[in-house]
Amino acid sequence: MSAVSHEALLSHLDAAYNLARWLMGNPADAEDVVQDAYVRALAGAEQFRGGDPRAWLLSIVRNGCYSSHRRLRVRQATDFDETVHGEDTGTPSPEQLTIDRDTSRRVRLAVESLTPESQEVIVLREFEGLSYKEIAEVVAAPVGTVMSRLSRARAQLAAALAEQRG
Amino acid sequence: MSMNCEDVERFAGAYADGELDLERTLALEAHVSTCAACTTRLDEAHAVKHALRAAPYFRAPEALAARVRAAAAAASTDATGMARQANILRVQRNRWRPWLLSAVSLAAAALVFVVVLRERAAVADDATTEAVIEGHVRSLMAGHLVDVASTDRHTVKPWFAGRVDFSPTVVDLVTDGFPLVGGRVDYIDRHTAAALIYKRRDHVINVFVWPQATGSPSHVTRSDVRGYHLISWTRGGMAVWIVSDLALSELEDFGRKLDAAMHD
Repeated sequence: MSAVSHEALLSHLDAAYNLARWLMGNPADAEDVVQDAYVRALAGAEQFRGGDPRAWLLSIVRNGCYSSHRRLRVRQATDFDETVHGEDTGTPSPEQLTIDRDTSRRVRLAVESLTPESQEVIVLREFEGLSYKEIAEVVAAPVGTVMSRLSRARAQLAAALAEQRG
Repeated sequence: MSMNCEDVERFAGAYADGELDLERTLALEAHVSTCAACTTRLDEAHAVKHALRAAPYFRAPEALAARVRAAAAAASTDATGMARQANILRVQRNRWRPWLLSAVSLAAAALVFVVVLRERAAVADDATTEAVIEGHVRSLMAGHLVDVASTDRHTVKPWFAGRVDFSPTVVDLVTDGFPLVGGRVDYIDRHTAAALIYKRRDHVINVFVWPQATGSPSHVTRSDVRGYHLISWTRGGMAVWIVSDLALSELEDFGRKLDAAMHD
């Protein structure tokens, strides 16, 4: 069976939304991009030939984010808003509850400060657990490029976190 | 291969991610063991990864999930994906149909292997795990990867006759991107095992197979030891262990295809 099943696509909805939510910077635009990506993916599901369905779906979401940014012209640098914080992050696990809110806020700010190019590799690797090869598929770049982008992104993150500490 | 501080800087992230190949892993570890600055560098790489665990994960809101499910139901009744709007109206009447389709395709897709694989079973029998890793490393280090070098399964399978007292199923996965390299007889944890060697790019995958009488159904375990990924299961009276330094997701993909092809 080479066509990807709708169930397989639906099972990656959280991954699709999480990526869009980080790249778009707000829930409304993220929802629009994800819904549009699903319409495209569902229409193309019969033509899907091999590969990893999740990577394929995420590449559609990712391209949707980029073209949406182009449409919006400017990426709005959304200020961190305490009321927005955690609006749709689900029920915190007991483990998450023990992480102090300040740490979570600082890490979120640091990730939000990254360029989209850095942000997407961090989200795909650290939050979605994709392999370098799968990330390469999503961002349409060689594995070596993924590795160097991740390196750069982590250096930027380390710097941003250090700066916050003052 | 040897590494200097610049190389370590370049590869520290991939090392922390478990994405570095065996040769570079060994070279990096050799350098780090003698370099305090690079030890700090590796610690930092792990620290950044650790800090990111505090980041929020955004789950899809229920309203979005409902809209996407509706779009999927509409697309199911219309395979071409055209005229989706019109079909949304028909969904009411045909509500049973997407459900039936779902049930059938789900049943087809839900090979026992996949389902069981997702449930991270406990770490397998430690002694066998160690023996499998030893077998893998030995095959790489001694330059004794294969006894019979052939990409043709019709050459590899008969070669085992008379060398092991069972007949391993040898499958061709070249179209899936896992070419067969050859076969070897190995000795794993008191079992005489048939070793089948496949490759993915430069990564070697050892598949060890030996007879194992067990009444229990397919029982898949995964483990991750010193940068190696292992997946094992039992089916049709044979224990199958696959080991590689390949990324886990790729090795899982290989395992699914191997299991499916062996029981085709």
